[in-house]
Amino acid sequence: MKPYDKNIIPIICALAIALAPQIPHLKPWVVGWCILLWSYMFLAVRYGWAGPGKVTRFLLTAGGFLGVAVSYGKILGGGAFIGLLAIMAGLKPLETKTHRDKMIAVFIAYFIVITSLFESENLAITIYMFLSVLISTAVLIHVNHPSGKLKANVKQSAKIMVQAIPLMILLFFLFPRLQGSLWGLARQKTAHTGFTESLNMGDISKLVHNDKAAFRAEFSGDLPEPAKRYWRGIVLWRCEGARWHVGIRAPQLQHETKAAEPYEYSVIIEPHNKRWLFALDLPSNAPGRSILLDDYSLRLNYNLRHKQRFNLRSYTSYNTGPLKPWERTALKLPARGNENARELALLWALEAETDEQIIESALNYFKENNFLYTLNPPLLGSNPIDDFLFNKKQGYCEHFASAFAFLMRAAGIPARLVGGYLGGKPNLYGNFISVRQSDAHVWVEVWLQGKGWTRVDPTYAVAPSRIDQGMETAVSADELPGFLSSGQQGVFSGIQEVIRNRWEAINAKWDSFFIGYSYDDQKSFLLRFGINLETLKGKLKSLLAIVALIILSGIILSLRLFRKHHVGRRDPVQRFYIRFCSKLEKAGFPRRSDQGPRDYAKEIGQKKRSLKERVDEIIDLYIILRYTRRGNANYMKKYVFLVNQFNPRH
Amino acid sequence: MMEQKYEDIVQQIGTVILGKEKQIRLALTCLFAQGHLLIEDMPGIGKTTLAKVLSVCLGLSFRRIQCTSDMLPGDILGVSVFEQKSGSFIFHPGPIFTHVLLSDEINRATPKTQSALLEAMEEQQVTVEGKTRRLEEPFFVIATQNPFEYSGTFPLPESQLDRFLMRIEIGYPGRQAEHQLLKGDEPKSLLAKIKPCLDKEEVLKIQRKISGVHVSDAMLEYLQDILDFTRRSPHFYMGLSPRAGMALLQTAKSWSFLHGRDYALPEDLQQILPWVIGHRLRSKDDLQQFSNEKINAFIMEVPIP
Amino acid sequence: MIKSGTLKFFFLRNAPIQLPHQLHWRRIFILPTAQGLLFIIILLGMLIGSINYSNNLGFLLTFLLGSMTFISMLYAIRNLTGIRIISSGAEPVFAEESAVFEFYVISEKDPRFAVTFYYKGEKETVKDITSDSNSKIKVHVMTKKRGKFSPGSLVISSRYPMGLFRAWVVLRINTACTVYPKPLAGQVKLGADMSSGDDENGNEIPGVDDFKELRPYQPGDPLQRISWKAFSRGLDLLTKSFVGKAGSAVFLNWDSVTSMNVEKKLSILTHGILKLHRMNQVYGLNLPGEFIDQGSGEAHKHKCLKALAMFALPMKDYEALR
Repeated sequence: MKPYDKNIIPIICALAIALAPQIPHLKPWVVGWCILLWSYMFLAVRYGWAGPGKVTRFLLTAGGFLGVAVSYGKILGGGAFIGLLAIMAGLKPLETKTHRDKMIAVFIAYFIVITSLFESENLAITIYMFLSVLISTAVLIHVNHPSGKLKANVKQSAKIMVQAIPLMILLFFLFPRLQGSLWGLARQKTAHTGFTESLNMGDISKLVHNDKAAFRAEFSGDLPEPAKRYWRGIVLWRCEGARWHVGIRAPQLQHETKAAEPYEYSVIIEPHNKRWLFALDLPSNAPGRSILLDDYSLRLNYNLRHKQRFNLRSYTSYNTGPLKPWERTALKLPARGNENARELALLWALEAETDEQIIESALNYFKENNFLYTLNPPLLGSNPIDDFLFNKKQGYCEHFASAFAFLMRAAGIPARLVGGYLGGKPNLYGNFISVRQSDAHVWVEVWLQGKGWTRVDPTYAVAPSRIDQGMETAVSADELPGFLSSGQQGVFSGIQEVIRNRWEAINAKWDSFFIGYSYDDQKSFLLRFGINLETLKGKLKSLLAIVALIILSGIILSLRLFRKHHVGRRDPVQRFYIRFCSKLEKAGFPRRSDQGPRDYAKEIGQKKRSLKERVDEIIDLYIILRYTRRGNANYMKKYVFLVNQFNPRH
Repeated sequence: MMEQKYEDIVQQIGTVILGKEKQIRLALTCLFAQGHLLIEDMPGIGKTTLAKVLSVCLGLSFRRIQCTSDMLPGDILGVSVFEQKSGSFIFHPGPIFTHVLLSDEINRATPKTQSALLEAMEEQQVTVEGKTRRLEEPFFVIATQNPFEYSGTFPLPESQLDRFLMRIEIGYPGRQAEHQLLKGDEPKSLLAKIKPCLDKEEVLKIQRKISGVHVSDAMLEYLQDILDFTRRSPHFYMGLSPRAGMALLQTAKSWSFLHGRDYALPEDLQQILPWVIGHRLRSKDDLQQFSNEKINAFIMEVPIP
Repeated sequence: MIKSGTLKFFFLRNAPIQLPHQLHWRRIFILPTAQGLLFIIILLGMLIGSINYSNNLGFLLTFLLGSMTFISMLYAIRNLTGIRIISSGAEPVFAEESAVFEFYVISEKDPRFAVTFYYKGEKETVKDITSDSNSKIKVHVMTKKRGKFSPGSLVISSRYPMGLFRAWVVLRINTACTVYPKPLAGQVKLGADMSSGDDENGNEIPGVDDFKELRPYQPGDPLQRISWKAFSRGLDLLTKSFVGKAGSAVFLNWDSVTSMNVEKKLSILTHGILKLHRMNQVYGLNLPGEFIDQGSGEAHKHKCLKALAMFALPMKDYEALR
């Protein structure tokens, strides 16, 4: 067995760089496996070991695969697949001896890069992808040109990559996209945070600790004012005491809503593996493959697994009209439990003349009885609403909202819970609002005669600043999670803020150009060039356009690559001489490369007498400038002038 | 002015050596470039006459030695002869103490004698019995050898061939020139008619002026490309030495000066090239020297920068 | 109308070319390598995956790699274009040895990397080519029989930069190498020198090696050679004279080899020449229709060996070598 050659090391580097973003998704033993095998390879190269034999390698391979099968529970699912790739990435250098093996090892690195793109989609991973491809390609070039310097190979790799980018962009925008998938592969369920079909007391306050982005809304006009930034997600109809649930599925919205104050915007939602979209209260259209339900929640036909963009229109002033028959479910309460709350509600109902007065009494109850808005609410007893309303009096938005909705229903007012987000941070550099998981919020909608469904946010009664200024001011500072507390004051946090805003603004641009690009965008984009993707002819046209553009870019690049001389690098005297010679060559008097200027002039003089004088003059100047020490600026000026003037055809 | 004088000399020599203008020009170029000339040709072709006419024309002294295998270095350099009367040695300078030395059939001399001569050519001085004597300037050796005779000769080794700036062949005269030669006067009487056009001082002055001929960087680059070519091309057993490069440069300067210019052109280099490098290169295939045509063909492979 | 250049290209693409020659992209063939095909399949897999999950970053990477593959193809072609083969030559070898053809190759513009040179079925030579690479490219070919050896078609190929494509060009370069007969030890009767056969031990020539005699002093004799010892004994001035020895001159005759087989005869004569050369002898060669006078030295040896190599071969082959 021959020892490993030292070119294995760059290959290992390429693999490691490709695998790095996957480390959080890998089982620790797989990471350990790679580190162990690679360290062994470093030592083997350093000390010239021959490496393990065939049997050992087979056992290692089998062991690795078995390990994946056992620890992931399967061999082909998403997570296991990446595990398997990592096992292979660890093993491959061990058996890399031939040129072919090295090439394949680099291909594995490329393949690992694409799997990491399926894990997360953001600008950071995109930049990392380019870096990883740059390194892998440099290593690939190194494999094919081992005597070259690594730096030169990286440069060559960068050159190819930069030249590939325009073509990549063309393909990206023109390559026909499909609506939906080719086949429904079962995908691993990664734990996504966010709303679920049901809401328990304390669910939302847990979300506050999550700094992850939820979505971003880009506005074409003005941003809505802070108090109107209610991002509607799910509507919960069924009350189960301590728990609220979506309950029934609302039918599709049939009629247009009469409303005012429209906002045009698009939302780029992080994948949450659920079907709902978040839209400014109240959405009026159903973008892409989604439907707008009768309770004004937007529902996708598929689980949102990739970052995607949706173009939306919302009205912040609206009237939903009369109560539909199916909506009477908004009055249902569990048969028993929370008797004190029901009594209180009945009491208010008896006292009040209008529904508005009942709402007023409920909100006043929260205001006047020392309720505390807190991130760490105490646990509630078996009748949680009673316990909250009359004993603990501490809670987060879901406590207030569910208690309020319970009271309303008990008082005979149709009420439903709406889950979504409130607020969000407007970006300093872009016209968009970024909303984080920590902005999650729950509020109540009640149906009022003549007004339709009306939003009532009981949290406002307790902590009005939550709505106007966000979470940071609404709860006491020591309760806040680290990323929200403004512990660091002054310049440093200011700079941090600027950087964060900038980064988000760049991300937003990136997302709207690349990540959010979809079939619909492509369709409207191509329609501008008269290509309709809906028809077969249009599809063929777009394919034809791709082929034509690839050929065109190939020609453009070839012109650059196969250019004949770097004329610009020569000194000006010679540059004009070459120009002069090429003029004569076109007229049928080519110069042999070994022909001196006098011989050339003599030859032309003999072949065509009419040229003799002019050619001799130029050649004399050329000789003076190039071969004597008499050359000066005047000669040069005259020489340049004569060469430019020179036309051998007359 | 110089060009006129040069043309006069060429013309004068041409009255004796008929139809060999190119060779006359080359010989003069070589002389003014302070180099030595090797003529490879058969006897009776006019080598001696050329050497004689040259020396007369330039107003220089002339000596001739006929090399044989029993010739000793002393025969060329001179010896100290023991005078029995006075009991002391008196130095008798050899034929080398002259301006123009014609060394006939140099390949007949033994290597030892050859190297003594070549040493003197290189150093412009001779060392006899421990005493160094300078040769008077200008000093110019024309050596001849017969390339067709092998037995009993000592062909000059590569390293010594390199000491000759140029190697030329004279060749048979053309039919017309030969007709004139046969019809005309005896060469001896013609020789008597030749008048010196220059004198020693003038020759030295011209030699100094030639050193001042301008060679531009572009020109040097072309020269270097040619040297590079011979070093890298697989045609050649060995590439040209730096000394050969210097020889080329010196010859090109001299050639351009004699054509009335104070700067050198690529054409000058091309003109003199075969004669300067012909004896310095050997074919890789059979170690033979190249014909001039072949060398010219190689030069066509080197573009002028 | 077809341009005459194109016509020439199709009909004369296998005609031998004259040096210097600059590689033009029109003569270059290109095909994906096995790994290149594998990579394209991997790319297709990536594309299908991206379509299925409508993953835009997946598309982006796939298209990036696809575009890079396409561009690497152009680079592969470029890595050969503009290479100038200025000249070629080979030193003579003996039959059944491998001839080394040296090519003087430059790239005037940017350097060309990892360019492979080989004759079909022979060893490959990989070199970077720059504008002033000081090294020649040496390509080995096995020879079979004596005579003029033309090596066939030279292949210049490259997988640079990414190894996904192999660009190559096939050139029939007008070059040749003299192949001497394979030396074979055998009995050779050495013919004596025809001109002076009286000397058994070789010719004496004036030299410095051996003392010969004292002879009377002549003016001009070097002082070191005067025998002062003899002078001090009262004798006349005497000069020491020395001689050197040249090896005895011999001839290798065609008829002096007893073998009947022509090739075997040539091989034996080759061996003889090599042996005489090693012994620093003066020798000549006498073949039917070819006579080489006595001589010595490297050039003489090659002259004799070449005569043997070309013996009884068609004249045009011989001419081509000159």
